[in-house]
Amino acid sequence: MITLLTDIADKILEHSRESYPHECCGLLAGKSAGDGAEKVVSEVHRMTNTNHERAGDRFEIDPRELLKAEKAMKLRGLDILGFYHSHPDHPARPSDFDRQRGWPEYSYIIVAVKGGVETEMTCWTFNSFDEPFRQEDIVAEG
Amino acid sequence: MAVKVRIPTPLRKLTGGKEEVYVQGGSVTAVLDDLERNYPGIKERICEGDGKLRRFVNLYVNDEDIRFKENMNTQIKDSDELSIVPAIAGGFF
Repeated sequence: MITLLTDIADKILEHSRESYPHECCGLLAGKSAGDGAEKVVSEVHRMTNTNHERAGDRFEIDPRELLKAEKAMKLRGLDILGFYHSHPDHPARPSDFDRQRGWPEYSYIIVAVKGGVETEMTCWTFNSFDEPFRQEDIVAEG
Repeated sequence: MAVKVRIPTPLRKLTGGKEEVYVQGGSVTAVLDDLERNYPGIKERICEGDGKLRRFVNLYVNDEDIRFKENMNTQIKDSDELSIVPAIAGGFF
């Protein structure tokens, strides 16, 4: 289960709408308990989609930007719990490419945006490299 | 003295949940070898069988990408920090 505090869900949806028809991406920061089974997201941070050639159907995060953000999070006692991205005019389901490039333990929030308006937000995770994605329940609080 | 290695969440199962570990070594290769001695199974997640860095993993010595330095031969001194940064990507197609 992943809990989104305060206005986290709004911020993700706003970024997804603004970026349409391109994919947006960002990181989810907060704390986890129970071996990562319970995650509480208290901050999101927009990341630059560096895949300029295919920004309409792919995203890629600059590792240097990620490292900088991760270090800043750590100073505030937060950890990177996962990432979000949008699927313009496509369902909020992970693609084969999402799985190929996914990492275990992280949560991946996907927002479907149809014609510039969000239609669905889902979350996915897997525990080890040989597992498929499974859906995680999203709880919005605050 | 030792080199601090920052472990990303997806690899922490291999370090018993530790976010940071301290190992010995004067180069990236030596640090990763000592990391593997202490936390078996971690090196194969970072390197290919021939010892080269995996395509979707980035290593930074302090704030510098080793691909822009001397790759696995990049020198590391005590008090340096080696960060393992997963390459994050995806998309609907």
